[in-house]
Amino acid sequence: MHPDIRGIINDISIYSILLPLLLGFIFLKKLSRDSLIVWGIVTLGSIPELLGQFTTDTLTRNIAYNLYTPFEFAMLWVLYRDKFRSRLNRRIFRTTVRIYIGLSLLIVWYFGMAARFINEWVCVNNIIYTAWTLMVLAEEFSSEEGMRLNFQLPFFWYITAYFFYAPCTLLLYSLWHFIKQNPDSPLDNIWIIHNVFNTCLYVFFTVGFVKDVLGRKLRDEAKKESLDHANEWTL
Amino acid sequence: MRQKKKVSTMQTNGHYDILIATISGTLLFLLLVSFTVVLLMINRKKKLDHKMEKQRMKTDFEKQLLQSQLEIQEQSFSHISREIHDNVGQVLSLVTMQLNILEHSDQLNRPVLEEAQASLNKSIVDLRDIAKGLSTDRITRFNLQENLAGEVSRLQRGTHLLVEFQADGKERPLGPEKTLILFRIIQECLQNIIKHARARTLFLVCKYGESDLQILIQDDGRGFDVSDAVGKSEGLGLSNISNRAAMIGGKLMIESTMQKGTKIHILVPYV
Repeated sequence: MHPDIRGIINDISIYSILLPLLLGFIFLKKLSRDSLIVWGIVTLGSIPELLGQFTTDTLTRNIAYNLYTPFEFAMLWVLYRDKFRSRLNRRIFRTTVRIYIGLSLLIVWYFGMAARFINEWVCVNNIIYTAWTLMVLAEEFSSEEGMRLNFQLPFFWYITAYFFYAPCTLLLYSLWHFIKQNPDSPLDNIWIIHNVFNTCLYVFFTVGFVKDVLGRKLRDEAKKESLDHANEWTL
Repeated sequence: MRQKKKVSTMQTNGHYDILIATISGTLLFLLLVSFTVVLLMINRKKKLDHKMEKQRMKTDFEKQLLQSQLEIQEQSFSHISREIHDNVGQVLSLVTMQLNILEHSDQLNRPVLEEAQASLNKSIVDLRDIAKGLSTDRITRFNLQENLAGEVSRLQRGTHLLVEFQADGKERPLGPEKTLILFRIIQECLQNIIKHARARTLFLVCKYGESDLQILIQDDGRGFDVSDAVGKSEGLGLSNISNRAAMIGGKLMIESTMQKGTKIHILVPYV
């Protein structure tokens, strides 16, 4: 692909984080708990994302990326924590967290936090996010009500964002250092995949914020209307 | 130099292979994820449709139930009004006349007095029956057999039909709502027979089976073309009866032969 087009896609991917970041900041007081968690992920994610543009210091970048990985996991743990209905899924969820903590300690002990970007850690994250999302979706399929996920709910957009991003960038993250070692090879085009899914991730987050704010506005209006109606009756 | 170029070409080819494999793998994941999301949406829509259908059926059922309750209440009121006018009113008028006779006679006319007493006692009994009929929980304690027997005696009194009612098996409860709707179905069938069948005899059977209650309504009237009646606007009554039966999980079958009569079978499961 033409380097200019690649550059544009890369820039779109990096700066697309500003969309949910700014929108979330503007409507911060109106965001629900789920949206605040995602906004937290976006805010901290913007540090390594934008840092990559403004500094060439590898050490700083490595630390920023490596700190972001467990932080993102912790935030998503809070997001998914109360979303499972079945006891089995809640048990699997807790087990994955324990396994993740063990693996993380091993990874940090083995690689350190600054020596290099720990792509293996991101791969573990992505596998776990995919598993959690599949568990939520499986519950939706089997549940009699099955009404929890719909286009109007911000949570639907957040898990869909991760459901596309996590498995589709998994192969790329697993080849991270191999690709970095061959910057002039055709493999360099592979970053486009990451950039596309990264942009989708932030666009989906933005849609989630919009749905949240609009939904709250509608709920407030309905509440006000019913209060007015009640007042009319009282008067 | 040539050796170095060859190695570089091989390396590039290897990188292309990895690139293609990665893109293919990513596309495969993308396809799987998209498929799952689409499947979820379809599943959600199905569940939503199912929920709406259930809600609609529930609303229809409640509407029918309310209608049946109102119809039965209306019938009860007209029955009470008739009873007061034709029965109690007449007897009390007679008592007034008897008391007038007693007032104007010089001696104690014991037979007239006894007749007046008997009439007053009858009126009291009739009024008690009417009061029972006015009780608000009459509909919730609705007994199918009792009410069918009442309906049959009403038909015998008010029409020239020779009506026979038979109840087989041990009575099992259907639930007040189902019973009310079933009673209205039977009443509607009987009304149709009186209005259209020109029958001389009517046979009503209520059989409590193992798993369902079977009702048979048979007449020896002029009969009709069932498919024709269902197709025409006149058939609206039939489809209404059939819909009501379906609403309580029952089945309605009509067999009719011209100039020979009609048989209506109603099957209502207990559960």
